[in-house]
Formats: sequence, structure tokens, C-alpha cells
Amino acid sequence: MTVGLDPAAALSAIDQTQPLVNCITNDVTVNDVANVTLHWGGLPVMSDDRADVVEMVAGAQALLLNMGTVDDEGVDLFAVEAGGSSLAVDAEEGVAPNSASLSTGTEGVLHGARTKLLQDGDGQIVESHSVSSGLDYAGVGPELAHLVDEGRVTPVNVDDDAALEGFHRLSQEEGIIPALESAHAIAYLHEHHEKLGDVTVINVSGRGDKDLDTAIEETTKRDIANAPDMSMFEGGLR
Amino acid sequence: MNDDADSDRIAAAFADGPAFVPYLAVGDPDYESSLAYVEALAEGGADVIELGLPFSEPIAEGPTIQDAVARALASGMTPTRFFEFVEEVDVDVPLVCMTYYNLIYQYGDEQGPRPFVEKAASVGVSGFVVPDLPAEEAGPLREACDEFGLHLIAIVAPTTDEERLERLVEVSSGYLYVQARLGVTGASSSVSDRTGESLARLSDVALPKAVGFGISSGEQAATIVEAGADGIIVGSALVDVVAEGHERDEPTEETAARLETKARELKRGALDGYGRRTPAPEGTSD
Repeated sequence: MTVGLDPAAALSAIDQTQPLVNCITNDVTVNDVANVTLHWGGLPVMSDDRADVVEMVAGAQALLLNMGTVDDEGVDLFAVEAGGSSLAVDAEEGVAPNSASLSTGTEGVLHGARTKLLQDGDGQIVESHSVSSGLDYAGVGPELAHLVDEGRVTPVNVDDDAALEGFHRLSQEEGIIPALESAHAIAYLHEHHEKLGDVTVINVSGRGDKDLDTAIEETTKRDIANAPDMSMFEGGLR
Repeated sequence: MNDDADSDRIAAAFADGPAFVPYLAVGDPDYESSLAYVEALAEGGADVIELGLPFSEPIAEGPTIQDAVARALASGMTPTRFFEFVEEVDVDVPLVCMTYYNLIYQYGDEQGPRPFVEKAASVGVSGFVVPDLPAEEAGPLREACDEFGLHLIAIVAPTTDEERLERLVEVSSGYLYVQARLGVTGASSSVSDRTGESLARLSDVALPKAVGFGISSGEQAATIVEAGADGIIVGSALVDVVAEGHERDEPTEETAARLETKARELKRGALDGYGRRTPAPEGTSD
């Protein structure tokens, strides 16, 4: 997209709302950028109208992921779940040390949604776990569960340690601190990139600055191969 | 007693003045004590008793009942044990099962509510309150209730709008559970002054209106009934009595006696409130 009338104002809006913006370009290269995105199978959205840009920036606040759609069978979809510390469920104790309800759960109804749940035979919900608090839930969105049932989305998972490795990898190699939720996908990509095809898009769904306390605490407890020297964080962040 | 006569027991409970509807979590703190406690409520004047079948995620409950649910689950309460309890408990009032939908959905060989409702009917349950079942998804449970002659009781909140209220009333029978205030269950020292307002907007609904959430004393019960409620539902204030007894290691019969006293206070309050209505009501809800 091209910023025309008041670049300063548009950039300031982007700065304030922090959208996930794929490309900001100019009149000279705009078509090249769009063609490359198309070539990857993406669906570029372009505008050089200031009002449009403002609207797109606002809309992108949540998520702007334009690599194909659910209906586009040419795109394989994976949901990388939290494998936690183990995929085993201890029904006796009512504990599942993971949040992999797509991979290991069964159909049930929780919080008003019919989806896949970590539960015992009576339907009591078991305690879930993940190093990522945002994934630490015994259920999953019903849309995802449906797409898995249809065979459209393949559920996979990585464990807590791998997620922390993914967290450090993207932070160190790209200067992007991913949320611990998204770090699971980074880890999966690292382990399986050879069989995933030429272009893989990861939805970095959230920012990792919210997870720094957890990342420091959990990394310090473990032996994570690519972790930086954690002693600099002794005494916490503040 | 056939199914139809059994369903009518709830209507009968609301027919002669205000109904006192106490709640306890079954199995809190253990199966045997729980039998004595529920029987004490009946002795204390209960007209309907709501029996909580403990679920791991009790989203409508405040801390008091959450703790009760945790104690009951720890003591080994399950849907199967719950049905044994209903068969064994020696009371002569209609029993309503208050629980959450996943336990109803998972019970038995086939998924869906039918096996649970069939079993509940066979042990003598008269109806259900299911706080986490949206009206839009209540169809299968409503059908099973109709098949086996049980009631499905909806909860109406102060924020329930007119359109939603219509949907709820469509799938409801027995009585309406009117939330006196927003939030979760729990005893409080003052009752909401919005109760009158809530009841006024339900005046066109033919079902009896039982008000709950926050009632903990006879005086509060009187205020609520005076404001027009057909019944009062009391949970946390009674669960508090059970919790105290449990913490003090009190003998079961002493806790049961204190429960019966508390029940009498609440029932008395409801009757006093009914007497205070002006002008004196010409009849009851029907």
C-alpha cells in the first residue's frame, strides 16, 4: 500500500495500533510486492487512499493473515497445540499435563461450546497445563475442532521445552519476540520445515513482551539449548 | 405415581404460598452427611430442594459453592453416585438437579442428554437447572425432559433482554429461577433492590418466579417475597452451615440441626413476607 496524503499521520496510526502489517511500500514497487505476495499464494490488499489505509490499519489490529483461505485446498493448515510436559492424561488425579485437546481430547460441551475437551469418562474437566498461560485451557475453539473433524486442519503439538526454544530462536534470529502461544508454531517449523513445502506462513498471533516473566522463569528452570545467559535477569525484570 | 403427576409436584409446591427452595451440593463433605443434611432441609420446611451434582467447572458459583463442589468431588461424587443418592434420600418434596451440561451430555452409552434424563426420571428427579446451557442449545434437553415428564428451569438475569427472555420462557417449565443480582452465587448482607424491577418485567410469564443469588436471612427472604416473588432459592447461606460444621469437625447431627434451624428461619421469613403484601393477594400464582 502507498501512503499518500499525510505519511506522518498514517505512520503514527500504525505505531499506535501496532497492527501486523505485511508491506508498506511506495508507488514504484507496489506492484512487485503484490505480485510476489500473489506468487506465494497470498491475497494482497492494496490501497493508496488515506481513509482506506486508516481502516485497514485499525482492522489489522487483531490479525492480518492473507495467505489463502480455509477454502483454498492448495494450502495445508496445521494447528500447533501445547504438548505441555506430556500427552498422557492422569484420569485418577484429574490432570492432563498438556493443552492438546485437538490431538488427544474428546467431544463435549464446555462454557457453552461443543468442541474437543480434556475430560474424564463422566465428563468432568481435567486440569490442563501449558507453559503458555494463553493455551492452558481444557478446550479449544469449536471452529478449529470442526476443521480438524473435517480433516481440513491437521493438529500437531510440541512440548513446553520446544516452545521455549522457539521463543528464543525467533527473538535472537529475527529480533521478534513471539508470544509463547506462537512460539509453539516456531518450534514446529524448526523441527519439520523439510516436509512443510517451500513457503510456510506462521501466524505470530501475539507479542512476547507479555510473556517475558514466564519465559525467564521457565527457561531458568530448564536446560534450553539456544537460551541466552539467563543470569542477567536475576532479580526479575523490574 | 406416574410421570405427569410427578411433574406436577413442582406446580403443587408453588401453589400454596411462597415456596422455599434450598440448595446443597450432593456429597459435601461426604455422601452420608449429605443425606442427613438434605433430609434436614426437608424437615425445616423446604418445598422443593435443588440438589447440586458437582461439576469441575461450576461457572455460575461463587467461592462458597465452589468450595462445596470441590469437597464433594474429592469425596468421590459422580453422576452415578448422585443417582444412588436421589434414590436413597428420604424426603417427600420434589427434587431438582442443578448441574452443568457436559455431565448430562456424556452420561450413558449415547452422547446427548437422553440417557441422563431417562435415568434421572427413573430415580425420581423432577427437573433440572443447567446454568451453562444456552437457550439456543437447549432443544435436545427440552425434548428429553418432555419425553420423561421432567421440568427444565431457566435462569433469568437482570441483564436478560426481552428477546432472550422469550427464548428462555419457550424452553422453560416448572418455575423461573430469577437472579436477584448480577455475578455469581453467594450470600450477601443486603438483597438487591432491583428484585422488584426484575419481577415486574416477568409479570406476563405464567411460570412461578423463584428468586435466588444472595439471600441469606429470614428478613431478606421476607423482603423478596413481599416484592412479589413466588419463591426463594437459598444456596450459599446453607452451604456455609455445612462448611462451618466441616471445619469444626462437628458431628453430622449437629450440623443437620443447625441447617434445619436456618431452613426454618428462611421459610418463616418467606411466609412473613407473603403476609406483608398489600393488598393481600387474592390467591397464589395460579
